[in-house]
Amino acid sequence: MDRVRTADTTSPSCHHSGEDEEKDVTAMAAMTSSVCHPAGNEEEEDKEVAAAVTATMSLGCHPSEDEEVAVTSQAGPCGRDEDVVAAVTAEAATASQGCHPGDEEEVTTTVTSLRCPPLGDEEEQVTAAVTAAVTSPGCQPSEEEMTAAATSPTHPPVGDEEEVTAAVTSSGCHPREEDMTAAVTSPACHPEEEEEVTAVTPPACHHEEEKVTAAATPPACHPGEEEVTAAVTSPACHPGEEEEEVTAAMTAAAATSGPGGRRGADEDVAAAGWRARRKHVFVLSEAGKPIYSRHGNEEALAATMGVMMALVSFIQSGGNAIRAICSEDRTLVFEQRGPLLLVSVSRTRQSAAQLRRELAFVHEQILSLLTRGGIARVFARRRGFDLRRLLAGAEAVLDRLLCGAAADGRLLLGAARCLPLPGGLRRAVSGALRRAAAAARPAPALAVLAARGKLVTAARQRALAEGGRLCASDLHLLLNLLGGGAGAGAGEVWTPVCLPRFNPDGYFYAYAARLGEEEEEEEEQEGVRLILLSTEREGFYAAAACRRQLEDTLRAQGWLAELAAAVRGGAGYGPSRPGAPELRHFLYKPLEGPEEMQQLPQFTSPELEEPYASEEEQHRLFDLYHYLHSRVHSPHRPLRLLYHVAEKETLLAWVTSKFELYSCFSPLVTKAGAIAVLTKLLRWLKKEEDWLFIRYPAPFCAAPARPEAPEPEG
Amino acid sequence: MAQTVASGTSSEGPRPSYMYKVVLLGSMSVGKSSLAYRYMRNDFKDLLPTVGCSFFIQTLDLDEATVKFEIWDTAGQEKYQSVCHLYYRDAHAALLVYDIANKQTFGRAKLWLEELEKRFLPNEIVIALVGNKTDLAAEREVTTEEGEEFARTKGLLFMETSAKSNHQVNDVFMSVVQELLRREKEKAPKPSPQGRSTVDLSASGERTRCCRS
Repeated sequence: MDRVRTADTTSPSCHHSGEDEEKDVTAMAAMTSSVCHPAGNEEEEDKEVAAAVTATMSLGCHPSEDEEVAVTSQAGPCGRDEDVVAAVTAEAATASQGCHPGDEEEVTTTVTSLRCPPLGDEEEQVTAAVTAAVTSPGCQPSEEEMTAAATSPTHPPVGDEEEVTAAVTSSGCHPREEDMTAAVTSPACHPEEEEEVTAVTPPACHHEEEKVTAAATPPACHPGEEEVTAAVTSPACHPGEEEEEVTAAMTAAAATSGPGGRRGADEDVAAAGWRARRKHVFVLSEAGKPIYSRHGNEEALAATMGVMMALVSFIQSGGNAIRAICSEDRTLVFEQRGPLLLVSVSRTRQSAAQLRRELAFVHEQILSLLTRGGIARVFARRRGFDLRRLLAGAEAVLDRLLCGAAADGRLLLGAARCLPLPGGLRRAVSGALRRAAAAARPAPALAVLAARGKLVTAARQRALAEGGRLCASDLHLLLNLLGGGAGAGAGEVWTPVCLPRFNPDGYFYAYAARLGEEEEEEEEQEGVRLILLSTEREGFYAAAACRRQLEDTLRAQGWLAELAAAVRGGAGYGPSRPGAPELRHFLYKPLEGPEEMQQLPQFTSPELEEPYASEEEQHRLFDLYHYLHSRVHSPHRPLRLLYHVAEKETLLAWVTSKFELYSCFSPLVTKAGAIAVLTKLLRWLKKEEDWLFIRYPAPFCAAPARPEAPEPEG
Repeated sequence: MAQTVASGTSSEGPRPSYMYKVVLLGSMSVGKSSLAYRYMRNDFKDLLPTVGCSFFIQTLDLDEATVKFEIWDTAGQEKYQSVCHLYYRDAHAALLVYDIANKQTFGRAKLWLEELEKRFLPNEIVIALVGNKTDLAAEREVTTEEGEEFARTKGLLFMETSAKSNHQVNDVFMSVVQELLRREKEKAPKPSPQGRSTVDLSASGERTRCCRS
């Protein structure tokens, strides 16, 4: 009954014979099928891997209770020269039967066996990676998502461990939709001791789906629902010493190559500090050539990236695609986009889906500089092309994108952050911008005013506005490229730029300049920047004229000074502003409003203040937000309201058809108290709408462009 | 794209005024933006790589004329080279910048010169070769003589500068202005291309002297 999707092994430089691993695979496969067998009970042993797995699944009899099943896998007998440690945590969350047959069915099991150092020196220090991906068909005609992992580092690892990684994917055999997530756990590490309460309110929500509530609400019995947690631990594991994760092989391989001499060369990629980074993002070409690394010199990481590419192409050769590897404290996400491979190695609490979206952003930022066609062309000409030649200087842009994403809701919410501004002033400035843009010849497709990366106002040509073709993500990339960072002294910028969501193959020409540069020349602080997007490559002088016209209007009315003052005066607000002391921070994204507003997704959040002043704490907070977001937007069990008591704070996420709200309170708040604060907050947000958001970014109509366009380029 | 000299006709008026477009060309991180920043703001700081092209306007009130300088500071990265001709089209002057501590950038400057020679008539544009980062003299890879020699054979202005320690940055721009004005004057009486080409060579000799000062 089991349909074996993938059961592959690689060992290019590994001395182990294929057969041994084949056995492993079989073992794993058998093990998995046992796991997914309803109420199955199985034991499997092998020369290489001895794993005993007992997985019990409650068949929906007690849906209100989590069943925890601890399974112990015995390591090989003492006489063996290898010890195998397998730690498996499988958590299965099942959505109710009400789901449509087309719903996604996702089962992921990852098993990692860490082999402890052999006693003598007779064993070659080889890292072997075994992957088995087994899929057993579900009973329902449903989509399946597979996660398969295979590692086959070509270098001997630095440590003594031999590592066996196997990822087994199986879809449920139950007639119910089922979702299993498995993570590798070493006993040294406990996820955390957060008390978590999930509250479900289905207001106006007539889903047939029921949301499972852990402790708060015991729902009625649903025959199909089940939550299974299975943990497999082996006594042979030394907690402190065997902190090797799936990434170990990759990192070890990197250690062998020497450092290069460019940006980030100061960071030793072999150092523990590098490995301990919260998040790594790598970009490489299909030929395995390094293109970008968030930390450390990508040149020094050539070997590591080679391993990643080998991994991906290996899985590909089996007609499959690797998507993610989940280890105890790290998530590796692989995203192949055209000739580029993007990899994220994260210790944050972002879900694989969130990491994937972040990688998509990185990819799109690269496209914004080179276009999809541009990248395809250079690789078509030479597969081994070093894209860094074209991306030189863009590292700063990508760093800024990722750095900004670490403690900001922009990427998380897919919305632009607005600069709070008195409604009247914003309307006046918007009007002036619209008029200046419409009067320009040729008229820009898009005109944006931004300060410190926050949106002041925007005006789009009707053609661009219609059908919401201008994406928030494109706008974000544009702002990231030109909105801040470029810094004082950059003068007026004119550059080709691609909006990948709008058209990944075409270039716009972007003009960016600071408003009122002349007056405040001495001021180092970033002022208000104007960005104009033109379709004319010769449009620089038209854009510059448009800026002067706008400046004149704003200056004549005194708005320029008002705007500058607003930006200087903090341009934000503290979390105490809504008048609720328990509230520490929040992210609020309105989902309804004037139609124009919906085309320009926005969110607001107060400045981060104590206790989130330090970067570390900010990361922690946004980890929690990411976690909440992933829970709320889980494709299997979407929630409306999530009350989460964390170690140092209490959080509440609330999503309705009108808004999306993530809030953070002091730890002592009660649930009723939090709800009361939110009610107050929502009232405040409603009242301050005009101050917080761009409510009517009406598009403008460009007068038909004269065919007096500049002479064609020679 | 009105890049032609604006209202340069009033020779008998108080002072003629001219508008010149100047482009900064060269490999990445040789200090083009820093030169522009030093010239515009008389300051130095770590700048991020230029995106596309930065544009500045500087107005000079000289004894003989008012000159409006349009400075186009281009990005050195390869990805922008396909659009670079946009920036240097109709330019009146070009600064070919290289890093004296990086031989490669010197070679690249030579390539830029070839590119310009393809696009412009011999005397259409004033070209200055600028060896930047003299503050890194200890790591020098391109000797002053080497640069000088190359400039002389090609008839370029030549100067070594440091945007960081403010060495001769202003002088580079000034000598370019002087050269432009000189050609302007010459153009008015006799538009003979032959005469100018000889003048050009002598001009480069003049500049090398200026560098030694």
